[in-house]
Amino acid sequence: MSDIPDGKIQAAKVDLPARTDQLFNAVFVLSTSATGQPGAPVVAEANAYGAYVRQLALRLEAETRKLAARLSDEEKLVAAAQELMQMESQRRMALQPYVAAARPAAAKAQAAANWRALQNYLRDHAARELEALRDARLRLELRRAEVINQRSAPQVRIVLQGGAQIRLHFGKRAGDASQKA
Amino acid sequence: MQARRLEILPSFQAAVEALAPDVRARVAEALVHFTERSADNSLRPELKNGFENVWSIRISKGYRAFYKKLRDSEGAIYLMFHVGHHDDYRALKKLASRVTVSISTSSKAGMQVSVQTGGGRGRQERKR
Repeated sequence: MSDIPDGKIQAAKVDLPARTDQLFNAVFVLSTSATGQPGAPVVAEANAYGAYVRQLALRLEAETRKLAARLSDEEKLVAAAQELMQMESQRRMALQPYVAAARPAAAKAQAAANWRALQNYLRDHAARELEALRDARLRLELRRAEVINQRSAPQVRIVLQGGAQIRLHFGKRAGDASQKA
Repeated sequence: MQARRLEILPSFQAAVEALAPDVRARVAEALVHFTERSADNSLRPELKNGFENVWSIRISKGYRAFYKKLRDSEGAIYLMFHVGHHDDYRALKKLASRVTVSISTSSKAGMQVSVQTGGGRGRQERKR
């Protein structure tokens, strides 16, 4: 029996550090009124989030490679890709409020620079987290494309060159679709 | 300059037909520019990192078309095989310069928090 039943993505089991929301809140919201340096617990949480993102990216890549190599069921591939799209969308919504530019309030230049550096570190890893989810989904979508093309192989090839041919082809397909509807 | 030859694979056609009509129209328009090499700056053709011979062009802010670049007896041919939602998070990365964050402890100095910014230009430390 396969160890990946139903194409379920197990990488979500890489647990997001429990205090990630508080971390983003501290670095992007509270820092705008903080007067001192970022404390050691905040830096430790930032490191934990960075480690989580690196682990998630590795797990997602390995798992979706495995899935893409084993699955040829279109429905399962679509379901797994949708699951990843949902995860990406949820994480994007959760991160969105924090990652817009926020200016730390610390009066001392060095303290403000440290807050900004932490913000940059988190922005970079937030982008990596979202990219990992997006690219894992793309891997499954490309596998689905392969399955469709293998199934449709005997059909006539459509080779187009030049704008006129492209417009004619897509115009005709749009016309056919509206006639069907 | 010679127009690019595109092969529209069944998976590409299926993906296009699943899109909203306005996005579908943008796909067709993007392919017109791609074949005529008339707007490569806005299409931003690029090799997709981590994938083998998978290239993408920009359809709109959230959509990309994907293709493989091959050669046959007539020259280069671009196999269009997928189009779909694909957000670009590089803008977010651009805001971030390269930084490392580390904590070290020593019995003499106590705890040190170190935040290092890109290129090793600025290293700020704090002792507790």
